Amino acid sequence: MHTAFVECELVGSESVADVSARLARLGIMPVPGHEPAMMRGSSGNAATVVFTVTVPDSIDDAQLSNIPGVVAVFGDPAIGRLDSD
Amino acid sequence: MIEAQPISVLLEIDPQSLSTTVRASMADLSIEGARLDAAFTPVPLSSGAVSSAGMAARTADESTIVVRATVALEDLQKLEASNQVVAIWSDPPIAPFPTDCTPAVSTGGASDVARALGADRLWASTGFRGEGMVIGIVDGGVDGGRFPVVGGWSPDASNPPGSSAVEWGEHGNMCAFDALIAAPEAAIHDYAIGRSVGIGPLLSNAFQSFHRALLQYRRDGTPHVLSNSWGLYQQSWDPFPPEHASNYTHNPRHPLTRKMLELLDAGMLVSFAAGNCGSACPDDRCVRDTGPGHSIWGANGHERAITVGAVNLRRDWVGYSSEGPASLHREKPDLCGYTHFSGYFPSDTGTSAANPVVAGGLALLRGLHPGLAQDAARTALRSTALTRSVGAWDSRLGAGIIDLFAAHGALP
Repeated sequence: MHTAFVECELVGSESVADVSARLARLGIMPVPGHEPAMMRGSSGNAATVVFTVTVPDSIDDAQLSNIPGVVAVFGDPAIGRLDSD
Repeated sequence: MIEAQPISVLLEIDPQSLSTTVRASMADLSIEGARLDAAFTPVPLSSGAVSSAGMAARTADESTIVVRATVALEDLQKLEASNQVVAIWSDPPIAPFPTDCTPAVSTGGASDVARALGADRLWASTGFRGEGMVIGIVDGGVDGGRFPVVGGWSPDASNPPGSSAVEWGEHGNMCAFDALIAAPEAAIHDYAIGRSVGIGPLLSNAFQSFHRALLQYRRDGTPHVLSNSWGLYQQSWDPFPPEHASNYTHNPRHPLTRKMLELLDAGMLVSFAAGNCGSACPDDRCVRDTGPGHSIWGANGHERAITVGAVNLRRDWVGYSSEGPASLHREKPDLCGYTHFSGYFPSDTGTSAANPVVAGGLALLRGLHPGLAQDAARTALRSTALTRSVGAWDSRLGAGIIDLFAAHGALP
């Protein structure tokens, strides 16, 4: 069961398809309609790619971060419109 | 000839100049040229608490006494020369800052907003009303049948940008309407983050919108402005705590915030609603996260974002408008826009309405000053904002209330 949405930052030097395939083997799937977003590299770092994935309950944050090609994992919190009742 | 009315002042007096008897009770104190207010209890004041030319010769451990008096303007010079008086301070009338906690009550219409912004004067003096400008509305969807939608992105392929199937109770339509108040000839890009398929509105939809907007901007220079009237109502909506490396609310390294910086560096202007968790009448969804330091989260309060709080058309602070400091920067909000006016709805509400009002103003400024970038725009808006105390920032109003006409005048 997919419960957690996270934004997964991947190394830019590997193809997105390769890393995606590696993630898919663990049941980590990209969110439909969301394409990988190239991120500007900070000074001295190569550019990275971020995409939004669903992660099965069986994989915790530490495991996700340790997958080869995964640079960082970020939260994908709920948001709301800022009108007033 | 009309005589000037006496004015109320605070007189700072030197107790050493008084006789021992007067100093003991102050009851018989009199100062030539001033009518002392017997109802005002004299207040001792440490000399260290003030710095004035009159105090320069006094030593640190000496104190003065402050009394209230009325004086005629023509007697001021005589008072200044008195050996009893150390300094004369103004005592102006004050009033409580009104707070509006009634969002259902409109305080004017869209034309009143345009007038309050100074947009009507800008149109008249420049002949420009936003032609050729594009404002991206990152929201629940904008109905292209009602608004000039010319692009955008939707997470729902069956309901592309401009689809009439809007989410969030037509909130995106409200934002589009409010953005077009200052720039009525501008077009809209619909970044419909509320049109999620199978999932609730998540930050990743906004991230994806920023990504798509940047690609579009690199292709044709649009959208010029991105308006964001969404956010987190409480820190705990973030599944990661502030100290965690994966956190969003307190972490400038989160991809959404970094992507926003890419937009700004590419040349786009980005505004954010501050939020609706102000201390006077916060939204129920804020729970305990209300007031200063607990109500502006993540990119909404990044130093380089233009963070917008809310006032009504009477220029009263709206009591749910989120208060700084933000989690990412101290001096937030930057300024306030207008809300509680009849616009798309009988009353357009929230910092949600105030933000696109400012975003539309940014589009107008960008059209008049084609090279205008985010930092210069933010500085111009802040430095020309209508304020009660010049140069001061406060946690509710920021630098003050937007004055579009003045901001235009401040730009090269």
